[in-house]
Amino acid sequence: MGLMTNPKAQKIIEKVVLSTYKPLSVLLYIGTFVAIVIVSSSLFSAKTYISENALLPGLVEKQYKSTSDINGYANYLEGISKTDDDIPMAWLQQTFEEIGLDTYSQNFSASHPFLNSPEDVRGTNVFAILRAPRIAGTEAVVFSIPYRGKALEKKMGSTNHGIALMMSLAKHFIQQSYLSKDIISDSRQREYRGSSLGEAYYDTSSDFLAKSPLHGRSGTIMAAINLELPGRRIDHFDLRLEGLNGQLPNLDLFNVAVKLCEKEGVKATFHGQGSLTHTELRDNYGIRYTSKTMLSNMLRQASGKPHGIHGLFLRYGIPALTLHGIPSNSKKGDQSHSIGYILEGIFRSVNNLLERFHQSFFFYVLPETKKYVSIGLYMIPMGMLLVIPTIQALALWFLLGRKSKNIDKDEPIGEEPKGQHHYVIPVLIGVHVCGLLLYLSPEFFVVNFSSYFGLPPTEALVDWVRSCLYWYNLITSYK
Amino acid sequence: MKIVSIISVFLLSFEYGFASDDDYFIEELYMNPMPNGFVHSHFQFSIFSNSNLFRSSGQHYDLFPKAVGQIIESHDVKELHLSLTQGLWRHDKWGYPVRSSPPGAELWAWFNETPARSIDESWANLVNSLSGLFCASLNFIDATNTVVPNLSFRPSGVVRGGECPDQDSVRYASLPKENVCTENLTPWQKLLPCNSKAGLSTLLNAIRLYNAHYHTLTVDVQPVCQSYPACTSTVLRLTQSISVVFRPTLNAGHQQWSLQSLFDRPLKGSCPLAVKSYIHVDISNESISLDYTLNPPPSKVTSDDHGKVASYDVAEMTQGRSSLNIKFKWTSKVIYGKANPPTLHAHRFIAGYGQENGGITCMIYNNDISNAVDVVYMETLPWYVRLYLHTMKIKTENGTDVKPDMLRFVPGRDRGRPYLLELMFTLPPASVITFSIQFDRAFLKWTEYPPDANIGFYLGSAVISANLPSSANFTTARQLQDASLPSSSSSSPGSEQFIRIYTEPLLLQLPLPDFSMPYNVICLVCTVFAIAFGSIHNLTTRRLDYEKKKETIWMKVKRRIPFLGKKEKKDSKESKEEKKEDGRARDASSTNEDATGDAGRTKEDVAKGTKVD
Repeated sequence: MGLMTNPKAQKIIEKVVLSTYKPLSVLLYIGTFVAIVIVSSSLFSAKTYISENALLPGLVEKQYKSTSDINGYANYLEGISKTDDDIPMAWLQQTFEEIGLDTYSQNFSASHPFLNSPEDVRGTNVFAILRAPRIAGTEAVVFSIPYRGKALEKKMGSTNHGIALMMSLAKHFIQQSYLSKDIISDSRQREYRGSSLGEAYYDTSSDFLAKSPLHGRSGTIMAAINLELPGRRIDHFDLRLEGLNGQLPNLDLFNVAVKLCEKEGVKATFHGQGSLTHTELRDNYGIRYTSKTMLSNMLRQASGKPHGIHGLFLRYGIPALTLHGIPSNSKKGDQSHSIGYILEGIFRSVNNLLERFHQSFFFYVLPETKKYVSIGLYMIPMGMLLVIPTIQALALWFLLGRKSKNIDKDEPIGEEPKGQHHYVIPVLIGVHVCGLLLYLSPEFFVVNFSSYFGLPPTEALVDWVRSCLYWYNLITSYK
Repeated sequence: MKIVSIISVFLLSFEYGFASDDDYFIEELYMNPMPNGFVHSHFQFSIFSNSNLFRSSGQHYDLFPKAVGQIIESHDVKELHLSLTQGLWRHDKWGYPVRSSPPGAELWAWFNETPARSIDESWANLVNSLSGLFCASLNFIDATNTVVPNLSFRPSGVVRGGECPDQDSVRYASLPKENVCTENLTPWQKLLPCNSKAGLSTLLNAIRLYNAHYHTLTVDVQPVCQSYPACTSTVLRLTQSISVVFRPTLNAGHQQWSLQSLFDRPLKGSCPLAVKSYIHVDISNESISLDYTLNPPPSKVTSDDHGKVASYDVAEMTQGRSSLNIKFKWTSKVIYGKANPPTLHAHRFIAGYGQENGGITCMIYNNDISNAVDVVYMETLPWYVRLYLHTMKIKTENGTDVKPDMLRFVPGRDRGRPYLLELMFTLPPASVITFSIQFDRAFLKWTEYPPDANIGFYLGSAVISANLPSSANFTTARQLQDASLPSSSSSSPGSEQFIRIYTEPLLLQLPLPDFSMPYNVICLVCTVFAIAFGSIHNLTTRRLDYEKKKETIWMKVKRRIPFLGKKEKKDSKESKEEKKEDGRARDASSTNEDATGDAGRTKEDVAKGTKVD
């Protein structure tokens, strides 16, 4: 550690740092971006693998068959959702009970933290629990599907076929004696703004969410699958992983879904990117595709917004993903069977689990569906980025030392410089005022301007934060 | 010895009218088709032994299994209740079972107090003996999961001398993680007089039993009155039972069941050693009161205000016939509905998430619209679930507090004793009472985690004991235990009925270390030590000071002799460099000399770092 104390070496470091820190910072900035792109390429990223032995995806015989039920359920739901916004609660409850599930419902009303408006979000969630015969209700898997209704369907696409498939699968699973985890079927109204299953399940209290008590539960939730199925036929499944605040599910769950999709001949993509084809791979190791996927993955994580309602489960430590069906252009054919097999396979795999998902990665980014970049690799560009503030700080420190030396030469030693504190006071006051403004402004903004811009209150807050960030960036960049 | 029985509210009594001194054996099967399509089958095998096991030394075992008799005798056991259960009895769907048991293994026993051994010692020996006898992991019962309940458990047999039993002589433990399979069934079957060779036990087909929604194996040993109500002498009764719940509607779509369809075989005959061999089919459910046929027709149909039961005398029915296959058929299409939940049931869950703290909430439902129900709630939790009694809340639906009439709390001790909470409170008519308590999740030592720590830790069922005010709401299943159908019930209608219900077991996630972490930590720490420790230690512990360099003789000589002056200059340069090297001590002596820089130092004496201490 002579380096730290040796004045000779210090001098050299000082010299080097001061002469190079500006170009070095720029270089590292560029280098970071380049490194991220390089790391995403198939040269560096590793192939995904199933880490948990118990999962054994696709090993068992496919048994699910009941396409005729699906059509009946789906037609009914389509009829309802064309005219109505509300969840057909009575019908859902009755159907689940006929199948033989324990059915519970919960009403909720969410109010906005700032606005005392009468337009509080109200809704109903219907839970149906398939009690597994092999277990005393200590473990469960969630099968969740958002119910959208007339207005939302236009915006976000229909999910009615998913609910129909859920019922049909429940009918199949209830006849099986191998189930060792309860299956909770969860039809959810007002996906993002209402009560999440976690809130109901763990009985957490919130000032802004009033909910009726839930009279039935299952045990620890081991995983959650959210299905958004627009119709009988899909082009491919887009798998969505990013949750609230960029949380990710265990990589094993994703791998299982990809593997089963592949087995059934349904294309699986991640941010629009499937597994790289040979032609794509020949093009500079597919770097164009992989970097785009990985960057959009990181961007989505950075936004903090969940990429589907599975994201709300991740908050409770439940690995979850969304299978988002992209509607197909051709209207011929019926894929209900293969989609049914995929979900049967996923549930059977998760059913095999002896412990919670813990074997595989929790920190990763994905350049495509079959490759991953683990934390060990993506920390390298991350580290490069962190070097910049370090050398900048170092440079400032050295500059400070030089300045004080110059002062020493001019001024007599031993005399306190006087009257230099006064200039801090306005800064101090200014900072406090800014803090106060920041503290009050969200509420002020939402209350006064949300109606002005014609934004719903929940969106308004997010937009406010965005605009703040934008102005901050603008100001700092011109400085 | 004169024995007087006290009939506590928990006491069950029996009268069979067999006054002989020999052992006798009764086998029964109770079947209950439920309105929601489930079929509950309860096998009960009872052996009554007159040979006084506890007194004479050279006992003679007739029908009473020697294995059980010896265990009871050598461990001074007064009463023994063991259950091995797979699945959870769903009270809201299935009503009340004949004998309640929680998921996993449960054992509770009353001991005779002897000066020779302490009860804890007897308990430890008993647990290990039973573990061997039933091939179950009962040996995992130790001081960390055994409790001495005061309010929830009473002797269920006859109690001597009219005195209240000493509550310290009972031990209770449950193992919610225990799995039950054929390895437990086989030794259990071996205790039966006819094994599985003849009689009702031939129906116990392991493949069917272990595909059911719920099944439980139980063994109960207790002294009962030989004759009732004049209880002049007692007999020892061993009751072995198996309860199974099937759901025939799922595969067939309808509830047309028969012995063949449920157990994959018909009944060949009764056990020749049994004095009674009966099959009872409960036909008292309103929805099935009409449109069904039972083939062959039953020997007799009894109905009272508890319900209606069709009974088959197996010995009589199989005479002259090769086999008996009772078939239950509908004459018209039936729509299976939702079962009405019984008077008292409960729902328990873990509230909160994360790995730091949490809470247990139990919602207890009283569906009786006119009567309040007194309940005793017992919660036994392992020591790593650190309960906070002050956070306990018992509330009604509208948020008013319910004050417990009695509260007993035995705090846990780390690695020594579980937490025990017993509460007695009243449920108002038609109410939902919510009990909740908060806890902290302990961080275990890394060797204390089981190999499959990532599944979580099982917390046993809470036990709710209650006296239900009216017996009208009972399913007939209860009466089997009380009266062993079809003889008269010990409890007259209208009197209180004791029931015990078990809530859901819970799976709790404790904070876990990453178990691959020790390796990483060791690697990292070793590297850091190897590289940085020496120099950092040196830097931080060394104190550096300036000290006068001692003038050596050679230096004196150099100073004196003028032609060596050139060399002296060079020498001083060297010493200056040496000083710079040692200038790392600057921090230690931050004096003015230091601030003035090199110039100030050259004129001074040579600095040299010396290690202090």
